[in-house]
Amino acid sequence: MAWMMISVGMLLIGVFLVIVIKSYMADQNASSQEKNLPSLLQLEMENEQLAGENDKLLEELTKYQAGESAAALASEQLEQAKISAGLVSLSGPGIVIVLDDSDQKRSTSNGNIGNYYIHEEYLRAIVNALWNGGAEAISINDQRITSNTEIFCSGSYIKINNTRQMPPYNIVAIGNQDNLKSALQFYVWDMLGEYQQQYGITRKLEIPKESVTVPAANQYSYKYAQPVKEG
Amino acid sequence: MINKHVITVATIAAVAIGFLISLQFQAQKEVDSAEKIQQQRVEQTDTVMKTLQDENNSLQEEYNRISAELERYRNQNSENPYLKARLDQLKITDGTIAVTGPGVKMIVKDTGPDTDAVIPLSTDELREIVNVLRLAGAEAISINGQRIVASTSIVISGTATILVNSVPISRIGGTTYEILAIGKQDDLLDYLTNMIAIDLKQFGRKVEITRETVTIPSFKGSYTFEYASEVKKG
Repeated sequence: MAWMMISVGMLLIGVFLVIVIKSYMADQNASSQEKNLPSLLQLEMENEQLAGENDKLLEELTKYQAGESAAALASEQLEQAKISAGLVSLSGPGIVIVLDDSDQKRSTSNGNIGNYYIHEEYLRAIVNALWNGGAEAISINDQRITSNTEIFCSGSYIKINNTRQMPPYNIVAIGNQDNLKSALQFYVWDMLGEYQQQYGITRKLEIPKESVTVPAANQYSYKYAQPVKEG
Repeated sequence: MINKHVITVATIAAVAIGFLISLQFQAQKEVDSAEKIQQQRVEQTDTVMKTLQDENNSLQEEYNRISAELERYRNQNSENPYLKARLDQLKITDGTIAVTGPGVKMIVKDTGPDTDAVIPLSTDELREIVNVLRLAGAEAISINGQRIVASTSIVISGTATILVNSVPISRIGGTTYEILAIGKQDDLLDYLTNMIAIDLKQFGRKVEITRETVTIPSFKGSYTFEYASEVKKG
């Protein structure tokens, strides 16, 4: 009798186990679906990008087909490309951010001395947030930020466009002032605020009524990259 | 007496077993229906995925067709090759042209199988990689097919999805990043190995860097200048 009860008990445990394993596998399935979601979104975004790109090309093609001369169109494109490549000085509404090292006497007893300085990551994080907020042009200490611009700490200075920059850092961005400000606040501003309170670094945001100006970059000369011929 | 005792126990046990079995069946039914729904969802996702993929293919075809035709028109401009060359240089900077050349390919597996890391790659780490490549003189950079231009922002959306040029590039459960750069191979390799790979490996991530001739896609976003206007030199 006891043996029989034990066997029945064992049987039950077995059935339980199967159920548990099954539901676990169902969970696994769910996460594989979750995994698919980002690639779905990615494809959707890529399609959107491609469609936009095709529209742009088609527009250009239509101009050619309407008989516009290649030379005229090319010089028009050249002007556009100069602006988007950052080779033209721009001005407009925008914001100015000033960051500076702390001037508090650095009592080495008070933790990490690095907390009193403005680091390359702060500048990069701010630039990143400003682009995210729809900035149309950005400069740091009159160095225009282009696709080739590095922001790299080399000890006592920060290298930007191969020039040495020292604090204070003046970051100027052109764009919608509200959007720039909220992007900044969303990503980095609070963290810098804490450093300001604790260690006395300078963190200043100005939203001037008059327009701000961002200087032009120098043309980068490419030695390795070749345009891919289409078709 | 003993018999009576056994019978009582057996009855209680039988009732308990009956109860448990019916509970099991109930749970089993629920699991089954959940599975069915799950299955339907996966199928739906697959259908959407396929539609998107088809759309992607036809858009790509259209892109190639228009580009080829455009190229013919643009080349009529042969009386002024200087203008075209200058335009190409500018387009490398703003990223609106695909480029090819000597460079490096870096594959980073951040988490998941064959890594010892549990924390996914952060946007800070990705920005640092881009920055080191720029320092090493990279002329063009892409991450998972997204061209990195000046205005590229690398941000996190929600808790886990990394957006580059507003396109999600990370996966739940571990992402493989393919980072391509064109430039002087020795420099790119040296900077990446010493300034990036060491740290990533220390975190348990898998890193592979190879010299390669790479092709980097064009930036598909758009440049709009709604607020900024040209400063006229006076």
